[in-house]
Amino acid sequence: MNDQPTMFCTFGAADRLFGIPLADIKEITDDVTCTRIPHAPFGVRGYINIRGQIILGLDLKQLLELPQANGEIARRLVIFKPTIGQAFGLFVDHVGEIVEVSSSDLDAGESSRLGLASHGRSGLIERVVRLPEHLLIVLNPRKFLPIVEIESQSTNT
Amino acid sequence: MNDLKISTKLILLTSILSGFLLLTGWVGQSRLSTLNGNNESFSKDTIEKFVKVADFQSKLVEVIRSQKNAVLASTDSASNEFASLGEAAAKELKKGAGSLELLLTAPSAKDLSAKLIEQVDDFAAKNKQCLDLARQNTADSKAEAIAISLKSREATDEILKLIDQVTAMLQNESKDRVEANQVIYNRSVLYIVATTASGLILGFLASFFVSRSVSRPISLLKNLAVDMASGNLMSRVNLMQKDEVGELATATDSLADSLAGVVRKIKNASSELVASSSDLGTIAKSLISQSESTSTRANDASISSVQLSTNISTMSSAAEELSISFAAISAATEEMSVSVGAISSAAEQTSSNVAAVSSAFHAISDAFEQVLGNVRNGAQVASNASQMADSATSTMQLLDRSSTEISKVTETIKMIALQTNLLALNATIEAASAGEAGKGFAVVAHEIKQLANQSARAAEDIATKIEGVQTGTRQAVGVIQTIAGVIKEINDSANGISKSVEQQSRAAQTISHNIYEANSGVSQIARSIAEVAATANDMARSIAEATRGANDVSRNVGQAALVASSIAATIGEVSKATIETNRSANGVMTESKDLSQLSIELSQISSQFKIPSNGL
Repeated sequence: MNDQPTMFCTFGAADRLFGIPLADIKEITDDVTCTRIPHAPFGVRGYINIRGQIILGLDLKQLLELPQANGEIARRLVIFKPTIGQAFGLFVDHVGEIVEVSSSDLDAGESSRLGLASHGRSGLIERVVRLPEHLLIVLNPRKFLPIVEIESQSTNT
Repeated sequence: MNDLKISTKLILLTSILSGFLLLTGWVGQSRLSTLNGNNESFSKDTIEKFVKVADFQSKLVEVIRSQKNAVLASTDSASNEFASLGEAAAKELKKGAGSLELLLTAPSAKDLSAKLIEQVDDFAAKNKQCLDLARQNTADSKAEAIAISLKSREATDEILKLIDQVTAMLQNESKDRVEANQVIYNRSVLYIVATTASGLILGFLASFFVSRSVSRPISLLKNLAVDMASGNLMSRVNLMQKDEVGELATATDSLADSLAGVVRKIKNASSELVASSSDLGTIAKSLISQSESTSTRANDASISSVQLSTNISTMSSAAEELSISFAAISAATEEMSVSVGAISSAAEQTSSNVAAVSSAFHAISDAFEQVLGNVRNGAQVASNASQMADSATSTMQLLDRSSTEISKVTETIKMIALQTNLLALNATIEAASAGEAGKGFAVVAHEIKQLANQSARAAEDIATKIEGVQTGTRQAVGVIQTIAGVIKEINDSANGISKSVEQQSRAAQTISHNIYEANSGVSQIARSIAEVAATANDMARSIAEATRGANDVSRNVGQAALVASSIAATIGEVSKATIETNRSANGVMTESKDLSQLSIELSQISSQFKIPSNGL
């Protein structure tokens, strides 16, 4: 099981290449209508109705404090499996290729040296993997909902 | 000796010296080896002889000692033992005496050796008695033995004395041999000294001869050179020697010969020079006197010719004045004739000019007609162009509209491609969650994604190209509209031209008519003036003939004047040349004096050299 390559769905945001394990993704949609919610916590864009199911939409660029492209709003929504977190998705700029990373490359990726701790917002980034042409920033989708919850609690109090 | 080269002489000398050196070495070596051999044999003999003498003495002592021991011994056996020892020693002693006899060579030694043997025998006998008594070993025999022993001591003393004599004799002998060696040594020294001395003398003599054969000719040559330096070329070396110095001497002799020849030639030449320079002086003197008389005569001729020239030139100027007056008249008439001719031709030219202007105006009028026709055609063309531009513009607008529609279609295609892409992505996700079962489906999904990407790219390409077409079309519409505007402007200005040309044409026709009328008046004037011109020409011809006659007179007189002045100039040149001749002759005179002085000096210098009278 370990020597099999891991598949990542890559997507771009603010000229960087991010990756989420394909096994964590339920589906990817676009052209969705997002209903914005007043006083929503930081990083939350709104609710989306997908075939009758209501899903919480998070904004990747806002969460990672990346610069917003002038006026353009990310419209692609990556919806995660229920095992990752209950009914939420992530808005990204555009979806790219699916890449396979071998377990040895994955292990060789930088993680501890950067001090990518499991606490705070930086915990979103799990490691950085070297691809033939780019560096792939691997995100940990399990951290998204907890971080949003912590942020909302801190803003409420 | 004289025929050898110096180097050969030196080699000879060196070989003689080294030969003597070798001889001396060989003599010394042989003498020394003889001496050495003598010394060796002598020392060996002498030592041997002295050893034998010493041996004899020691044996004697031994006999005496054994005798004494035998006498003094207390036991019989000891006496016997010592007695036998004493007998053996006595035998040895006898043998030694015999050998001592052989040692001595001198004639006086025979008696000495005989005496020694006798004494030894005597001693041996007494010794035997003493020993026999000692053997008995009784008190009486012992006392007797002591007595005999005392007697034998006397014999021993005698023997010792004789031995001393033998030793003295041996010493004398060795002294003789030392002296003989001394003699041999002295002789060897003498030989070596004699050989060395004779070698030295021979070497000295040889080197003296060699140096003499070099230094004598060189001193002779030096004397010759000193003589030549002081101007005496009489002396010669005349050395009959065939070596290098001899060659040098011969070369120096021939140098002196050639120098003497040169000096003799210089002497002869200088005496000839003295004679010829005095001749030159005489000639120069006569030349001076002649040139002076020529100069005087030339001066006289010059004065006369100048007077002649003045007279002729007075006449010449009078003739020239006459000629000039005639020429003035002739010129005036000719000018008149020319002026009349000029008026006539001007009138004719005017007439032809007027005709030319008239025809030119006709041509202008025709040209204006043509211009008018062209302008009308231009207007037609311009309106056609304008219509065409309008239709092109509307076509372009149609094209623009359709390309906009095409770009809308490509936009739709792009959208569909994106959707397909997304579908393929979701399919891939589904396939991945299906695990092994979804592998094949994942491949298909990947292919679909590729296709979607390709179609999106193609749509993008089409969009870019359509955009290029649209920009081109817009530019073309702009250009065509500009062209239409320009054509319109051309049309307007052509209409303006048309109007003004019509006005011009009318004016030209009027002018043409007026000129035609003027032309006929001018022709009449020209004809009258031509008649006047013919009359003036006749008058001018008569006056020209008169002028030509006057000119002839003037030219003849001028020629005479020229001839006279050229005579004067010639005479002047003669005078100048004479003066030049005089000056040159004076120069020759001075030069010949200098030359004479120089040749006298040269003669004096060359007479300082003494040269042999029998040579060249």
